Amino acid sequence: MSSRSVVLDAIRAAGTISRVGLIRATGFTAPTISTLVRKLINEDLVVETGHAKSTGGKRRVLLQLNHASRYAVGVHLDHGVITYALTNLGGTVVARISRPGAGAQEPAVVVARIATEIAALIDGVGVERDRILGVGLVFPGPVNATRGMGGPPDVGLAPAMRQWNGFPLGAALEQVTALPVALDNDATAAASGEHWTGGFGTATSAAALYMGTGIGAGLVVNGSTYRGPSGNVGELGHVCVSADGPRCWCGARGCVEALAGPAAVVAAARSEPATARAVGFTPGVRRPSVVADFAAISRAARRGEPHALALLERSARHVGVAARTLANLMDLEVLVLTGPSLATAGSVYLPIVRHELRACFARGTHTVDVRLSRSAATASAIGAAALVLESELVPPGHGPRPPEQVPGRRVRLTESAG
Amino acid sequence: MDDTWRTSAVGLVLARPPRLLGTEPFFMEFIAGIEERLAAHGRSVLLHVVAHHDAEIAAYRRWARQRLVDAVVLVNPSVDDARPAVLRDLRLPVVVAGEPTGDNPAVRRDDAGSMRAALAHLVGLGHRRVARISGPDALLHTRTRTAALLTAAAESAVDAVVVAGDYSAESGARLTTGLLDGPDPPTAIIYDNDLMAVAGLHAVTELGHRVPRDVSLIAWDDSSLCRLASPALTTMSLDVHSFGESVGESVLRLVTGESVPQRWCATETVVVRGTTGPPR
Ligand SMILES: [Zn+2]
Repeated sequence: MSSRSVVLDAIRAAGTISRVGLIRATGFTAPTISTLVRKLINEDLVVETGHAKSTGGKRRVLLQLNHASRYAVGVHLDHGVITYALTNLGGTVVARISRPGAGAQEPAVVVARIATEIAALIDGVGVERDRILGVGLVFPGPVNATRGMGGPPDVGLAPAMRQWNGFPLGAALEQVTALPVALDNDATAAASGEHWTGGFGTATSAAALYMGTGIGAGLVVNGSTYRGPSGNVGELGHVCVSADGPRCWCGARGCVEALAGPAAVVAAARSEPATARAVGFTPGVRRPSVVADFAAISRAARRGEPHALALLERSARHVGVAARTLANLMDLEVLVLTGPSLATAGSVYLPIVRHELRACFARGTHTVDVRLSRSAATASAIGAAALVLESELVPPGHGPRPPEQVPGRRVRLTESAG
Repeated sequence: MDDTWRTSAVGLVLARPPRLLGTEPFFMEFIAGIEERLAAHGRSVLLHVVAHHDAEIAAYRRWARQRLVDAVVLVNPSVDDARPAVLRDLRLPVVVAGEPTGDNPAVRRDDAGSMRAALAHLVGLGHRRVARISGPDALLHTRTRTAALLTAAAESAVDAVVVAGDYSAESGARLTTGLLDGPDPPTAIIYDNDLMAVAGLHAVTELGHRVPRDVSLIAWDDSSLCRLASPALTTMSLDVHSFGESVGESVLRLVTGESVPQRWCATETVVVRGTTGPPR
């Protein structure tokens, strides 16, 4: 990381901080901080905002990110729904819209539609194009070496998205939007979003447990999103919680996603007539996505429907077991529950996952802080935008593999905006 | 350019100070309800979050110029609200979520009935000195709830005071402390949202009081925050998703030129959890 990026990231992490605070946080000298801060202010990325409470000496000017100076677009591409979020520099949502999903359409047709919808979102917010740093595009599957979905041929993509295998998604979207595009899987992006917006606090080992259509996890270690050698870390949905369990679409047995993922919960609710009635599932009538069906089960549970609640609690116990495995492997300090399915069912899952981690964390040297995300419903789209903010503003120079590198036009941060 | 959603989106602008984090659960569920009705017709909700009403009005002007949305859902109608007149001039069809403004169709919440239900729960437990920490006084539904509380309290010979907060956790904590440190502290407090109530619960505990033994608390807008608080908060609960569905239904009729009936949400119910009990 360049020294400029280090200072910018320290300001982001602190929220507000004085120049003296920056010296402490970064280890740089006072003249270095003074020069770098002046640069960041000239670039419009940082603003001075009032004073810290006086502690006897002279009053300290506080610095914070200039939230309205840059924006990013995040797109969550899924079979049933495509969700768009336009965020400011701080990762706060400024605009959001959900549109029909990719379905069985040709990838090229979907990409053209995404470009049009991104353009309309930017126009609708009234932000100048040169303040948009780029587009983050995330999906429920791994990123491959040709900047598309899926690993080796036909491996690792959920069945509904198989026609995307081999399609050069990153390059295609860059061409039609004329913006830099970063790709990632949705759970990793959700973790990046949580990190960028401060949801992990000061933890050095933190994870996002993401539940949308499936189950995944993203990891942030020592302040960096950890992606592994091929960008496919955190396949929590395929952790085995029952050796003799049902066969999963991935080929293995007893995966937590197959036993307890949202699709499994929805299928169980449909198969029990009493539960299906209580939840309001009508035979033949389908909601646009598994997530929407799962939300209906969550609402029924909240209304006190015992069958719906029992299904969720059973799922939560399995998810808790998988979460414990993750916590033990990673020595987690913080686990944030997020994703659209936990936005609606989080109050059922949180106490059960918390209890599982409290009771069984192997060495017991510290507790794992389990929280609900403040923006669970839009987490992956916000995370997609955060990928762009992170890769444009604080690109890592070493350590874990950088996020999907962005060729093509780059917004030059050294030009003054406007 | 293709007209992808330029003829199929409904706009919703949320004007709120950036510090009000945590408003997401209510609005995301509300929007999910609208979306559930619109999705079947290929329509979507464009949510735009701005800091204040001037930026909200600027967004409406921009959308009308760009023909980006074909209707608007207006939330949080307020006293001397400038927005309905602007929207009329822009010829943007409007559905109001809340008390009607002008002759726009509205989906109303039964704020008066819900407030009476909240007070009745407390009176039933034996409370006679009740306080309420409200939302901003400029909002129409804040005033409706205030009037309903004062009338119902007078009828039940209950002392009621109302202090205005701003929905933030900070105001919830500060005003709770003020009420409990003052002369004749209330034995029960009603909050106008979840954030203020959760902060109020922490403030009560920090003052060394016990809930509900020393003071009972009722939150508004049931959310995970209320359910996960310790003890879990007794809450006035609206079916927010079905509120959104009703708004979606009205929007669909409006944009297809059908007549739009005035709709009402069900009265909120008291979900009794761990923060209400008889006064000492
Ligand atoms: Zn599997």
